[in-house]
Amino acid sequence: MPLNVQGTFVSQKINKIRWIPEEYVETKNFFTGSWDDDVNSIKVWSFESLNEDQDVEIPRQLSEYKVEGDVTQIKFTDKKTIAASVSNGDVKMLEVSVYDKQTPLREVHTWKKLHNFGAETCSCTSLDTLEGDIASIGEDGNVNILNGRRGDVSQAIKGADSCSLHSVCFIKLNEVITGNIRGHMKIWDIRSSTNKPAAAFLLAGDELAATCIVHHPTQPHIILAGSESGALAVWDLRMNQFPTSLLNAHAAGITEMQFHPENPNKLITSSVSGEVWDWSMETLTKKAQEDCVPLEDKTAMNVNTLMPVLHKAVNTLHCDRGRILCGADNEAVYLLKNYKY
Amino acid sequence: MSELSSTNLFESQTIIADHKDLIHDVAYDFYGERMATCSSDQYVKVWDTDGQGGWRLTASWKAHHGSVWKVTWAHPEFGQVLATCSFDRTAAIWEEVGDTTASGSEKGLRTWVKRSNLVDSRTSVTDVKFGPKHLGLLLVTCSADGIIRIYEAPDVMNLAQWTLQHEIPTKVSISCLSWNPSLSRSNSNPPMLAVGSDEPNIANAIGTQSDKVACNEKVFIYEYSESSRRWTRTECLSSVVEPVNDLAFAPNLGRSFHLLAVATKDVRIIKIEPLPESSSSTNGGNVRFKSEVMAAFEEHCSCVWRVSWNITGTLLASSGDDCCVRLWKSEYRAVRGASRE
Amino acid sequence: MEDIQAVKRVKTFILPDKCFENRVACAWRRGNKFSIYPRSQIPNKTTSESDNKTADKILVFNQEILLFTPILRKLVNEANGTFLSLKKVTETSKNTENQVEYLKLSRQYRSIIRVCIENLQEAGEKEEDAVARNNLLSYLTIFYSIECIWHLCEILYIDIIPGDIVLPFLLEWVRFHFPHHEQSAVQLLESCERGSEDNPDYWDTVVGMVVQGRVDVARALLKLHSAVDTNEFKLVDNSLRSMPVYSVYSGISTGEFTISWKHWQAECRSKLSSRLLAHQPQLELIMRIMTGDYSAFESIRGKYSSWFDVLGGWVMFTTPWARRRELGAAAAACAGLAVGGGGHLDVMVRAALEGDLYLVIHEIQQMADNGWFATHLTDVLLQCGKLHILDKHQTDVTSRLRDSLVLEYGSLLLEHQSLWPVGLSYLASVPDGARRAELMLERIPIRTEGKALRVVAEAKKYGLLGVAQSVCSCMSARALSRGAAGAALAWGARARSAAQCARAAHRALRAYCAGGALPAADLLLTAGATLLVDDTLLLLGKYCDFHRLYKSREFKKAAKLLVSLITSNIAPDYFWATLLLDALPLLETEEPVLSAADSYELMLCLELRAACLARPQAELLRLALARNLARTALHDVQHD
Repeated sequence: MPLNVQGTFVSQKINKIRWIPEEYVETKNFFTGSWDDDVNSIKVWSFESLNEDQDVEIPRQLSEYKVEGDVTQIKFTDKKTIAASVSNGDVKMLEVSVYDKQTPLREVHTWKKLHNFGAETCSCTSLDTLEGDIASIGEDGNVNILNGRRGDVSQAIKGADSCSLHSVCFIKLNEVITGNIRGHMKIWDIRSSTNKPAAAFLLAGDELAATCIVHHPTQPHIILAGSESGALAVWDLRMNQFPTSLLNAHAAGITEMQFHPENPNKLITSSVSGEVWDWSMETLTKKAQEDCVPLEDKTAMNVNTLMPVLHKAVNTLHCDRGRILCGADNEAVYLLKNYKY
Repeated sequence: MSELSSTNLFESQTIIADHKDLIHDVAYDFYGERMATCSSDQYVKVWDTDGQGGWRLTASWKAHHGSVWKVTWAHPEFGQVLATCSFDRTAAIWEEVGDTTASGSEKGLRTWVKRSNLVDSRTSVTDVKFGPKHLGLLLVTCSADGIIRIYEAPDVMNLAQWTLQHEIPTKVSISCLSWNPSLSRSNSNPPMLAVGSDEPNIANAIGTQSDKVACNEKVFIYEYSESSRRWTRTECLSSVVEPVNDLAFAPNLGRSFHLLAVATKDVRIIKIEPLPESSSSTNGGNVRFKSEVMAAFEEHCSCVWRVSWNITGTLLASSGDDCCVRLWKSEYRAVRGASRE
Repeated sequence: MEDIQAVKRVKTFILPDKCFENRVACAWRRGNKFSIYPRSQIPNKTTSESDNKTADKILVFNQEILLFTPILRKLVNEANGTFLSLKKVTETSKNTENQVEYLKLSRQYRSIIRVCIENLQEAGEKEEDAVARNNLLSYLTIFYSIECIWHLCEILYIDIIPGDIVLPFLLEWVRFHFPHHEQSAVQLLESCERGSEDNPDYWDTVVGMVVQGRVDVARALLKLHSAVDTNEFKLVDNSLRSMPVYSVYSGISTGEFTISWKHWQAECRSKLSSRLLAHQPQLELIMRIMTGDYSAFESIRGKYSSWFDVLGGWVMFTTPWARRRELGAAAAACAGLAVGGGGHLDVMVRAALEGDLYLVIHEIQQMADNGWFATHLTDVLLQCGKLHILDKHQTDVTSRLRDSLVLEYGSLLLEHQSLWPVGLSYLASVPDGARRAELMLERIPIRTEGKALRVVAEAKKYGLLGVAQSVCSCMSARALSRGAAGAALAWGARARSAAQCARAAHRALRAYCAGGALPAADLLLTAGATLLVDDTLLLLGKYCDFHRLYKSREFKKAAKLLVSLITSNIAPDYFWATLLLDALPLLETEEPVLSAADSYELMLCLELRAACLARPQAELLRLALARNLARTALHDVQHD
């Protein structure tokens, strides 16, 4: 079957979208987090078939959890719990009921104004999770490591950056990598008590923000970062500080990247320019093991467009086998079905 | 079908300003997110939106030793800066300081520091306005004895240092002034000011000689000449002969002429069209403009106190002694025949 | 625009608060918001007690915008996609005819309206609050009208009609918007009972079907009558069956069709005049309708909600060969059936049929949909080349009208918290839009850097570089007022603003002089060419590098850098003391790191700037310099 795209307008700009995993069946439920509106919220939705027509599935809202500010990131800490960062500086852990998705989200922990400029609010710009731990970052340039089981702050790196941080990723249990508004990337050893990064390097020479970071699912030493310019940089942390590849990819900032959970050679990216692409990563990750790789153009890569280009930014994507969810600034969510991975 | 006709509902919200005397001016900042009020109680107050549609008092201080007539915001590029003028013959520059550890910060109050006190006037300072951003940090004041003063902060870093650049005597009491907010790119327009006088007419007592009538003009246009480095009066609007309470240039959206709204015994919109250089020289070199009254609205049937344009200059609000606020809209409509007023 | 053909409209609001007895003043905030407050301009304090009580109240007003209700925001967003697609079509095919594409997009708009209506219906059924439900119902009325007019305009101006014979399309329009009779016909046919005439709606339904041109249905309904076997019924059935229907594909010309149709109607007339149907007044009425008898239409008009309900029937039985532009007379005839004056929708339908698009658009502008309909319909009609509007001077103002509608609509959206990028895309599609976009985009309230980055990205997308720069400068100023030197520098560099960078650099240097740590070292050491934006920033960056070298005990390099910083003379006055005193430890190193020449240079600078230093400090430095000069002079001589 060909790739099938269905859009539904939801009257909110969607900044984050996540499938809610199910144990044995293909999930029909997902989270959305909205931004840039008078009232923003995290919502739970379920796809429902319209009059026995199996092909057309319409999302229906099951519950709404309002937050004071933009939802800047949603990541799972376990199968039913998410950590969400909010632009008022809060980090929240919320649990969705396994049995009845309509019950309102339960607040497990809240770190109020975790990021702040004293009395003034400061955006918590993103977070990442690993085995129940949460690493949160903010415009204050701080990194906080939170313990999701105990609900406390286990480590804080104050002034990790003199600028605002915009992306974060756990490399391993004790190591996180952060990217700031100038594309300055720093690796932090959480155990270290000095507020000095273990390593630091620049994404690109243009001093534009690092908007998202992921690591390769099976080769964790390979790190990818998306830039505000739409470029995609790849590092092999075993090698050196320079990106092994810097690809001029999207026409505008990369908003989210995800390796396909079933096939680590597939990378899916979304962008401010309204594009959703998938990449075949074989060549790229293989080359990363060689010594010197010249900068290349994305034409050398195997890149496909998954969706007609939107007039507004696509902010987020999440894939579950052959189905990809996207959320966009045109206040719509898109379901892409029959994706071949 | 009556239900099709437009019904514009207005919601209103009341803020108890808690000034101990009459409020003379309310000014919004560049974004419309902060509001400054000033009053005869000699206090200035600053209010911030709380993001949920409400307003929160964030600062209140005694600014002068007399009634504070006007308050105005500088462009946010210069920081959070206010200027006030008062019956106590001074104008003052205020800057908000980010120091949230100061006393009062726990109550959410911020500190405003007086950076400069402009004491050149010998009479009540009736109006104060910052100049257009592209001219740097300029400030103009006018006073009851009819002197316009233009100040400049040569170093935008240093708000304590203002030099009095120009002193322009007008010989009539000046009540209000407005900068022409022409966009920086249209360099053909030199800096321009309009001032309005509230001097009561004495013509009737003296007689109706033509030269006396000329004195009754209430609105004057001043322009800065780069070559002579002087401000000169380049136009008197003969169409306005009653005391003027307020005036405001409309934002220029690329028109070849300027629009000035004047609050006098009625609301007037005056079109000021620069004449080409050649024609002005044939007319004796002094005629720079052709001005014409585009519209005169007498609906207030009483004295008009204030005129205020919206951001794009498509709507004009006026208010007067009749306890009415009227909105005037300039529209392009599919109508045949003469335009309606 | 040299001349704005402006129509000033006034709206008067009587203030709800009686406290404001006189002297009110007002101030615009942004968008649809403004506030009013009581005021007096009389300097001497003669304010009475009562004045004082009301003096401190400020009323904040906010115009409610229909389109901003969540359910209608879907319409706003989806229509924006179609608007931009239409723009693309017109841009890519300047010369070629693109009627098929336009029709497709017009239908897309209609399906958006349909979805909106269905959403409103659904929400209306669910809504329990009476006021809210009433609101939804009034929105429904608006969008029903919009759908009806759009459909008609599509038929008359956009659709591709074979042979330009408009009747089948007109009938389809009538049937779509007035489904009432069809629904009761379905009910009657489903129950399929002989003697259905006992149903009170029976005859109205039959007549309704005839008027809507559903001849087959009408005949089926007649078969349910208990007297169906009588001659009268057979006669009418026969006449209905034999009515010629024009089809462009039938191979006969319109001329031939007209002849055969007139012949058919003449037969019908002769049957009527022979009084064969005198005993069946309902059948006689049907026959009179079929002959296009005006009085027959007059007699049934009362049963229809509007005159255009019977328009299809009137055209069918008077001029079935009518072309699109020939409907004016029919519209006049049908409108003449009405009792009393017509409403808004009547005026619009009639104007559309008469080809008076002026009036249509003028009327549409009065609708309470905040300009959604007028903007999009005008745009489609203009792109199709179907809209020609002349002003009083007979100049074509069509595109100006369309542009002003798009401007107005775009401005409205641009001031919405979430819909601003949508508004921007409208403003960007008209010639005068850029200036407005500039003014408004710059004023979008920004609470987070994430939003700032998006505003900048959008500004750059439309070439509004001034806005991008201004937003970055304001972000820099804001960071600075928070004391965040790093962020201030980063945004200042983004703005490429020497002034902002200088402000931030000065702040950092002063903070250092006051005993703080050198801020933003991570940024400064990686800034590269950015430092060249401003001298003070360059000094700060180099000075930071000096610290790094010194800390890593690369004294020679550090000394060289320090000397170059001092001799380049770019330091501000307050920083000279720090800079000069930093030479002290370098003069005391075991191995000399400053050459004799360097020492001379420093001595010279010290004497020029002695005022910057306290006396004992200056003396100390002089001594150290002299000592260093002594040992290096010797050293230099030995090595020469």
